[in-house]
Order: sequence, then C-alpha cells, then structure tokens
Amino acid sequence: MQVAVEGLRFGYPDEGFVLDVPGFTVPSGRCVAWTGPSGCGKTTLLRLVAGLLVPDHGSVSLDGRAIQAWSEARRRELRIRDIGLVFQDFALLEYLDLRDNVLLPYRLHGCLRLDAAAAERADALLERLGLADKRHRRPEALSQGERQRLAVCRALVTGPRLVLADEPTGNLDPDNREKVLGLLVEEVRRHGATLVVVTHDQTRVDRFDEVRDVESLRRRPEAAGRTG
Amino acid sequence: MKDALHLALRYLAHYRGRSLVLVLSLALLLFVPIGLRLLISRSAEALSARAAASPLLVGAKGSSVDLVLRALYFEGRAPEPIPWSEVERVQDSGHALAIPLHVRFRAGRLPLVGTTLDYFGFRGLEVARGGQLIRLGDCVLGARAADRLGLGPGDAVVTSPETVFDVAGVYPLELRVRGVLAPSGGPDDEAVFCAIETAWVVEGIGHGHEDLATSPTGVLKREGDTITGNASVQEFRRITPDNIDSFHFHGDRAGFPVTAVLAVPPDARASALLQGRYQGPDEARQIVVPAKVLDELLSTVFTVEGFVTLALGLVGLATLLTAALVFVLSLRLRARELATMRDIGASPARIRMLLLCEVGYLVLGAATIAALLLALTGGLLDGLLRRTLFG
Repeated sequence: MQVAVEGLRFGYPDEGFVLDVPGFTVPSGRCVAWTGPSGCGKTTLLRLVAGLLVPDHGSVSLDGRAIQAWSEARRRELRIRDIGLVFQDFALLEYLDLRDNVLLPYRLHGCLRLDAAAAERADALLERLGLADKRHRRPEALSQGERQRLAVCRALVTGPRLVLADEPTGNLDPDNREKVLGLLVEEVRRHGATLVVVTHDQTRVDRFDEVRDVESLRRRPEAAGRTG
Repeated sequence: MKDALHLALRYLAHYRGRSLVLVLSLALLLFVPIGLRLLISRSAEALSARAAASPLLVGAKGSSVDLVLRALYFEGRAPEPIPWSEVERVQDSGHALAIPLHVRFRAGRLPLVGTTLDYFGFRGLEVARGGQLIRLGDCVLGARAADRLGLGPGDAVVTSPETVFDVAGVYPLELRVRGVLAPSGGPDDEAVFCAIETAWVVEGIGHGHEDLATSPTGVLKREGDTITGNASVQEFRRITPDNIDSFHFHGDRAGFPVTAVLAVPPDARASALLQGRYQGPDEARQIVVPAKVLDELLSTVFTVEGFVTLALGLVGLATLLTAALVFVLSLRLRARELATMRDIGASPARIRMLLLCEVGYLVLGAATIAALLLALTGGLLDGLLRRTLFG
C-alpha cells in the first residue's frame, strides 16, 4: 500500500504544537523507518497516516485515496482490514490467551469473519514467531520480547497491506530489540506489505529500505511539543 | 454480539474475584426485597385462604386477632375460654353448625386440638393411615406432625402444658395414635387432634382412677354414698380398654371450657342472623368473621412492609450506585485496553456492546443466584411470617 502525504498540517492547540509536512511518499511494499528525537512528531504523523487523527489541512492518501475526508466508520474499516498496528507498550489484553489476543481484530469489527482460515493464520504466525507452545497461556506468562512478538502476530493476522509500528522495540532489551525488529521486517516482507516503523533508535535502521528523519520531513521544525 | 459475549466472558472469568463480589452484591440486592415481598405475599395468601374458609368464630370478648390466630392457626396467645354452653347456643340457634375447638395444650411439642368429628368433615381432612378417633384417649396426627414426631398408628404421644407456667391440674396424658391425616397444606398438618372430651381429661376436668369402693387404702372418708379419696389414689395417665370405664367428669358439662366455636352457617342470611345475636350491649362473647380480622391485620403488615421496602430500596439504590461507581472506575483502569480496541478498529458502539455484555453477565449471574436463593428459601418462607409475628 502506498502512503502519500501532501501539504499536511496538524496541531494540538492546547500544547502549541504544529506538525507541518509539505509532502512525501512511501512506495508500496517498502520498509521505512521514521526517526527523530522525542517530541518531533513521529507518533503524530503515524497516527495521521493510520486515520486515527485527521489533519487540519492537506491530505493523507493510501493507494491514492485521501482518507481524511472519509467518515470515522470508513476509516475504522480501513484500519481493521488493511492496517496493522504495533504499539510500544504492546497493548495486549491480559485476560485473553495468546491465540485470542492474536485473533482480537476479528472480534472487534463485523467486516472480518472469524473462521477456520483466520484461526489457521493465527496459529501459523504464532508458530513462526516461536509462541505456538504458549498459545493457550496468558500474556502475563511471557517475557517482554515475547509480548512484542505477540503484538506483531496480532498486527499481521488480518493480512494488512500497511503495518505501522510505534517504537516497537522501545521497551525491549538490546537482544530482544534486534530479534523483534528482525522478525517484524521479515514477516512484513513475507506478506508483501508496506512497513513504517517509528523509532528514535538510529542504531538498528540498516535493515530498512529507507530511513527518514521526521525533522527533515517537516516544513518548520518545532523544538517543543508532543512526545514522538 | 457473539464476539462481544466471548470477550466479556473472558474478562469476567479472568477477574473472577472482582466479578464474584459484584455478582453476589447484585444478587443480594435482588434477593432481599423480592424475598421479603414473596415471604409476605405467600404468608398472606396462606393466612387469608384459611380465614376465608372459616366463616365465623365465636369466642371470649377481647382480642379478635388472638381468637382468630388461636382457633384457625393454633398459634398466638390463648384467649379466655368460653363455656360449652356457647357451642350449644350456636347449635340451638339453627343458623349454623357449631364445631367446638379446644386449643390450650400441646402433645409432643405440637398443638393439641380438641374438637369433634365435624371438624374433619368441614376442613376436608381425610385419614391417610390408620383410623379416625373412636374413643377417649385417641388422637390423629396431621401429616407433618406425624413426620416430625416419627409416629404412626399404634404409637403413643404424651401431652404437655402449653407453657411451663401452666401447671394447674395439668398432668401428662398418654394419647394413642389412631391415624394420620393426609396432607392438607395448612396448619392442620402440624397439629395433633383429639376428641374434645379427651382435651378436658388433659385439662383435669375428667379423670379416671382406681375404684374407691374397693380400694383398701385410698379412702379418706365415707359419708353415705359419697366417698372422698385421699392423696394415695392413683389417677390413670393412660386410657386403656381396662380403665376407660373409670373415666368420668366432674361438674356441669355446660360449663366445660372451649377456646372457640367455629360456626358454619348454611348461607349469608343465616350468617347475618347469627352475627346479630351477638350484638347486644350485654353480650359477653364476640363473633368475628376471620377474613375481616385477617384483612385488618394484613393491612398493618403491608404498611410496615411498605416502609421496609422503601428502606431496602434506598439501601439498594446506594449499593447500585456503589456498584456503578466501581464499574466506572474500572473503566478508567481499562482506558488503555479500550483505546487499543478503538485504535485497531472497534467502533464506540462495539465497545459499548462489550461493556453491556459484561454488565449483562453480572446481572444474569446475580439473577440466577437470587432465583436459586429464592427457590432454596421458598420452602422456609411458608409460615415464617406467621411464626415471626404471632409465634
């Protein structure tokens, strides 16, 4: 899925933060890292691309479709069908076992059908990411690295065409950072999806096709503002 | 819906301790007022049905409630006795069948009811095992009385005073169980019935003892045909074929005591005429319509129940608000989880559905437990109000 941003402007009035991006494109199937210091707007830009925020001006287009004009419901359906999200804090549901956590998107929107094929995909992902033997346990039984691998499984289970990961290795030790990032990129490439990873860690960006500093994407860099 | 139910169940099962506390709180919230309402309505129904099936009662002037409770339910304070002549007065009026009731003593810790065979016919009581009262000293047991005492035809049961203070002339008499009545679903099931004459023997008005004419040691003095016995004369405490002929009553039968007269008029006109006979200013007795007395009593009970229900409602509201507060606060703790769902693609409606399913499960669980409690305690409720209020 191609991501295109044009003349984008978004602000948090109460915080005096404005993100102003003239434009850029992430070609379909590319694995891209967005780097930059905390507060430069990385997460905000990611959430704008995901349709979780709506720009004040300009457009965010996915495969040529400007999503900012879409209704909330349509953007939700887009996210559940075509976008996989990975969060820094994993955002797992502690009361569900690993398999139910992976299959969670199927239970949140009527446009997806939880059938045998979905269950097979979940099992295959758990197998590939080394969590198959724990599929009926709860996340509390997992290490930090395993938890993020589980979050990656959940992001990929619906076969998304775009995966957006916000500091996916931010809470991991160096060994697990390497492993998880490697698995994430490998799995996304296997699926042929586009990957955008937000990270402030510039030491592990060599596996990406492209690394962009968000400061460089902005028209007028802001020193203060939102955590990114 | 299926997915929301699945997620809700998983959440509640994972936090089972918290869920259980909420379910039990809600269950009590449902059970207490409904149980109270059920208790009162069931007891009221049972009381009213019995009262409605008892047309008129004649007894000593005083508390009509005591008279009705004693004569109909064999409970409560015993009213002053009235003489047997009142039974004859009702019968001789030609306006009603008169059924005497003597309810003062107990047998095997259960009420001993002295009456005539007409009582069994009037109440539709049938003997399920054994036979009916035949002779002095016989008794028949209500169905539950037989179960509680573990007795049947051929066994014996010993009488006792109503209270430990009731010792004047009352000695234990061994009654022979002639039969056991079929269950009737009323107070008759828990009573021991005997002939009115047997009740008088228990009271000490009638007795049997060795023949003084042939007694070598029991004579205190002889004056013509009158023989006065001394303290060594043995009174029989058990009536047998051998000694039954020695039983006799002292005094005028017309003055022998009964607790009440159950008057059964054939129609409304006879009922009105009979009631009219007891309206004189010098009348020493009262005649009451049990259903009216019960209605007045129950209206008081229902008024009290209204206040209790109001108080319970306020407590329930407070509990409900507290439970709602706990739930709302738990939503704050779950803010990240719910935000994740929204980010992934869940609509606000879907999330509301999920939370509603959780509430639904809690309410369903609470309702199930409350229903089970009501079913379990339902059997205990019957008669509980009666015992609580009048026992």
